[in-house]
Amino acid sequence: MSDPSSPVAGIWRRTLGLALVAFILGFLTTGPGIGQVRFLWLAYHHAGF
Amino acid sequence: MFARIRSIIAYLQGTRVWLFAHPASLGVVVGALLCGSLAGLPAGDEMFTYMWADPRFCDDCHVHDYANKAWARSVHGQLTTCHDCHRVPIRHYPKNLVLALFDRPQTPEDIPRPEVKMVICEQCHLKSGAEEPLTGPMPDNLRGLVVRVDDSPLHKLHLGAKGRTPSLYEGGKPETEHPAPAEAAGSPEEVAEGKIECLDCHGGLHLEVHRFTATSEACVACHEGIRPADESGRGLSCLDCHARGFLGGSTVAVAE
Repeated sequence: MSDPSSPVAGIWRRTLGLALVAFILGFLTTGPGIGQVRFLWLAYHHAGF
Repeated sequence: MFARIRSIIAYLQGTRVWLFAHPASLGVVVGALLCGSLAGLPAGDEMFTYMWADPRFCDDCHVHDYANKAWARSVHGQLTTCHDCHRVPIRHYPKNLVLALFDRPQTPEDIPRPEVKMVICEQCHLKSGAEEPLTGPMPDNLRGLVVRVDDSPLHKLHLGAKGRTPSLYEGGKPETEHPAPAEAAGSPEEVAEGKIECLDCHGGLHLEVHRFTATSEACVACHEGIRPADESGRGLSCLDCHARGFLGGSTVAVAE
């Protein structure tokens, strides 16, 4: 059984934490982010500022 | 506060250094970023569709379920989006987001009456507007089958009129009383003098919007003076005799 306080465990904890943050950032960027940008671009093209 | 910001920046810089020092971890993080981006694509598409094509998005702020229902029942509801007729500039959205958060409309009277320019109706109902783009689900071949009124005698007469008030001979009222159709029907807003527009007859009254079918109420609002008063004419509606003048000559473009 690996020691949870070992350096390797610490590295993986940090890696998984950063991966979770990256996943959320990626989701928000392409999801609501691109959805909003696409909407505003079409609205601008359709009706101006 | 500045110390906190500096510590956050220092942490982020340290994280960047740490990631480059651990390539496996960097690979996992980049992979997670890509997976998140891919997972977000359908959500983004759904969000765009809701904001552009679903009238409930507009209703979230504008509180006009009666208008949504009337639109959904009409032929326009199956083929257009709100944005096809209501050209909303993008500065509207942040302003109305603030209003929705701090001064949300409670009743339809709290909402300014939208202005729909004639050019919007022309897109489908006049030949001159055929090149204008639409964003709703109406397919091009169906758009080609929409009735156009360029050659309809009474449409031409009304749309080409210099003013909104008919002469006494045409059943108009004396100059001291010149209501516009919406005003005569009880709309609280004043209608500016100008040329006749499609919505004067096809837009419906206040709180009855999206009633696109023209009825005799719109005729009578301006032409009350020639409404039949005799026993045999009293039961007639204007369109019983004059519908042909509006529909006659209307064309349907042949779909290629």
